[in-house]
Amino acid sequence: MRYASVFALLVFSSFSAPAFSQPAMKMGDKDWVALEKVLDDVNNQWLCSGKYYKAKRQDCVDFRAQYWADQFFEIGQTGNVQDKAQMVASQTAGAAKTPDVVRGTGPNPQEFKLMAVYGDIALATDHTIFKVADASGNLSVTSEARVLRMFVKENGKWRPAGAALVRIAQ
Amino acid sequence: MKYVWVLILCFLGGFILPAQAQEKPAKSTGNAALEKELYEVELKWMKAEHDKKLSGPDSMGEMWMDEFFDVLPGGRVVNKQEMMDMMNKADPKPGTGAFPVDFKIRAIYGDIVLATDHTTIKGLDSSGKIVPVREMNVLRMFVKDKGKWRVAGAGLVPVAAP
Repeated sequence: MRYASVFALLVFSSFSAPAFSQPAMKMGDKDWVALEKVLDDVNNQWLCSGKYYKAKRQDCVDFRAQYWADQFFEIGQTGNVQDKAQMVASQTAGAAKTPDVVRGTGPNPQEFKLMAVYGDIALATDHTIFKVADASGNLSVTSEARVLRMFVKENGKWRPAGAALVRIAQ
Repeated sequence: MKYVWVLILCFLGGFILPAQAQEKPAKSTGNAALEKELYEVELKWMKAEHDKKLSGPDSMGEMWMDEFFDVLPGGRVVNKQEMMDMMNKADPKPGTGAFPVDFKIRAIYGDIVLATDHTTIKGLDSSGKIVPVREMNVLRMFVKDKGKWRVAGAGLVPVAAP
């Protein structure tokens, strides 16, 4: 009988364990700020921006193909929805046409803000400024977007899970 | 000794089950039913906004998680209270509002589902006729909270004119 009670408790715990959806941390507390910093760094790696700059466009595409979660998807600024394979294919095609990257061009994320955490999923926003370089290397802004960025913790490591890019009205 | 093995197996089950949920592929046979269920949640969400239902069953207050947020067209980010205030101040006419179609689950991570849809916003033209005023592809985020699907937020991306 004693074993039966323990058995029942453990069976119950195995079903109740997945109900993790209540956030374990609160916006602004120490853990929240620490996670925001980690994810900001993940975001920069994802975009090959700042200290993660890569001179060859294809190197960044190859890195993303490894870094993004398998279920990664993105809604682009024009509303186009693409899954991971489609994103990698289109970016590979872009890299073949323009193989070299001028430092500072492409997406430049700032104002990264962690908005919600549900277990191993984190939701954040940032303000991403897209820049290009002219023939003499001068940078100019092509568009700006408020980006909703999603992250998933898999095997103890945070990875990009997807994004929705909303063009900022000028 | 027999009981000890049963106990160990059950204990491990408590860890393995959530891990399996995370690894569930986006396209599984169970997705059609879940897609239908979440689309129904979404329609209730749209109705709550249109009807300015702030509290009670199937209201914004009940359906939305406390950490709910939207990224609106134009890039403004609003939290739950700000969005509820916005909806409450709106003056929607019958037949206008948000009409989502083509709802698709894109990713499932345990009790979190990430989906997209195509939403048409309908309003009135100068002659009072109901017309589409904006087309968007929308990221919709859902959380299963205490056994019930609730809304975590959305990212509304206007579709560029062809």
